[in-house]
Amino acid sequence: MKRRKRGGRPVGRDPGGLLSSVVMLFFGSAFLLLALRDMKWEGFALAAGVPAMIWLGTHVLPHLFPSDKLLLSLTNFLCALGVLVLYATSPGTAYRQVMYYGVGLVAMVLCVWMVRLVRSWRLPVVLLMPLSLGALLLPLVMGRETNGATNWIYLGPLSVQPSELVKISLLLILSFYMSRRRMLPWLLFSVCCLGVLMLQKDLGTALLYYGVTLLLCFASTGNLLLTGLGVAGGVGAAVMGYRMFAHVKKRVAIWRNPWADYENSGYQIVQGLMALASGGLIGVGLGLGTPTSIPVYETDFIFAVICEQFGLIFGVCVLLMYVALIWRGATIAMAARRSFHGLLAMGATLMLGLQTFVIIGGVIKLIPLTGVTMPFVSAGGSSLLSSMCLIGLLQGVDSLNDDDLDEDARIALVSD
Amino acid sequence: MSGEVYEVLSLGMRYWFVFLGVMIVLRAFIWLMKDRRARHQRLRQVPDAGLIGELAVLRGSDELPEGMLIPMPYEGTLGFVRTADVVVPVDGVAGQHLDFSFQPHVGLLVYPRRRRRCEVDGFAITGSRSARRTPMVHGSVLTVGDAQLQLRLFAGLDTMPHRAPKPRAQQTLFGQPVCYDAPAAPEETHHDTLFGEPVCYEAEPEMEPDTPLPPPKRRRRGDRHEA
Repeated sequence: MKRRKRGGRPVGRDPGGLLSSVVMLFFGSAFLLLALRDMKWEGFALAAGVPAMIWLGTHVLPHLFPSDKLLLSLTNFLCALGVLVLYATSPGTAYRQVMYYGVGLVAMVLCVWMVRLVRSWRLPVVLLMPLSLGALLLPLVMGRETNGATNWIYLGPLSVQPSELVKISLLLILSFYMSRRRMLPWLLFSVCCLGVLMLQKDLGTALLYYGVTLLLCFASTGNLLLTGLGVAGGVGAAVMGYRMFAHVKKRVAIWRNPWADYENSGYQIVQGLMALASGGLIGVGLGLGTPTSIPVYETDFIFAVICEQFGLIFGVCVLLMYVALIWRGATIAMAARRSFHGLLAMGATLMLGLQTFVIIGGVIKLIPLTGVTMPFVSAGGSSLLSSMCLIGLLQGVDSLNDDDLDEDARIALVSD
Repeated sequence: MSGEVYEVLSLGMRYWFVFLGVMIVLRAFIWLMKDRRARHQRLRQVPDAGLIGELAVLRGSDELPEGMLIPMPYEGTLGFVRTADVVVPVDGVAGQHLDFSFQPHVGLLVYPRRRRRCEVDGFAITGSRSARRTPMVHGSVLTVGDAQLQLRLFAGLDTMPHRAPKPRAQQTLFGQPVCYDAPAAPEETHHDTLFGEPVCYEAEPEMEPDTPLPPPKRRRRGDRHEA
């Protein structure tokens, strides 16, 4: 009889061990190569430390809190890939990213325990609504415009993007009220958030908020008419935005033909496309090429840097890792017993999936470029923190699903 | 390390990194598939996973015959539309008539939608948010539209004990309880006669007291679901 671990998954050849071995080999060799280029002790420390952290994250962390090993492994791979690419181009940013990863790990564990321990979400959700709106308004009050949007606040040396963190409260609020079939609170909250984001000119985040709200509404009601009205409303708002705001017109014009003004407004997209093309199938080589010629390569165009360095085949592999993450998230959502947990997990999955689609679609010129980051990989503390929190929510729901299955097995024994 | 040496090394390592990247993706998807198979295997061993019991149809319709058993999940909606979690195609039941949710140590709570109503053990429950909730426990009868459904919970699920309906509140007049006189004995009823002689009927045999309702049997792998 096969041994069973918590959650009832049979243990034979541990798939986690096999995957983590390959991942450790990948990052060990990649960081070692970069360390040999620079001959700095930090590189050698990362060459040993990153595989060790991956091993710890896959084999030790799951014993400390209820977790899904596959989700952890995929998350660790993507985070480490971000550190690797940033170290190849900008070592200082890579060290900060490692620090943000540590903070993100703590936030993830907190989210897991929050989902498991909080029984009644009524009071937290009621408190979260004004706090989240207040946080979203902060950049308008005390922020500065950066890259055309006023969505950052600066607290000394730290810069925080409140809209990234409000994503978590948005999911909690939507899931709570949708599971109770109370439309007005979540609709009002979503409209207020979208209004504030439009004022900040943070169109990418507004698109994410809108998309997740609409899809969650469809998931909870199944009402095609309501969803259709939402889509029509979104299209109408997009058309109005195009006609009213000059920066929206500019973005669409750049998307349609970046070559028309490749030295100015189209420069970023053109450089990104050229990086994708110059990488070919297997890349120009880690640490080679000219990734720093792409403006904002550390955040928006990091996927172009990955494809330039490692090639399109590897780029597709990274996409498939996101697909695996989303697949796992959807499985967790569908196995949830309570509609609140199901919607929460589905919302977290949709948020990650939509964000990935929006940024990669913008980089490859499938859709107009927006200012969102690539989950786990892009540089930035707020983005990494919110992505890790989303994974924490998924892990929390997954652990509740496992508990429910164990309870069913116990009840089956009692009945027999 | 000189730039040229590094360039050669990096160009050579490209194939290694692409190979490892493909291996990582393959391993991840193999893991996904294995976990999926393991989960399905586990669910086959616990076929009633996700269910709290059954609803036995005491009064239904042609599409929902008497005696039919409807599996009951932890949470969901009841109505006549196919997308409802519990489908009750009976007159008087709306498309999405009510929501229900099982609370451990309490029982099954029902929440009729706006302008809908139902009865639980004779108590009417409306769609207003302030309406009193009567939790359903093992043996409770839910009346929705023309349908009457009895809840049978699996043994091992904790609910509050089943309480008999409370007697009507004692009415008072000027601080004194009002007593109603016992109804008068019925007058002698008309006797049936046959050819001028009274017809006597034999007394009905005494009914045996009701036996407690057994919990539904949990299905094992391979069992057919009986109506």
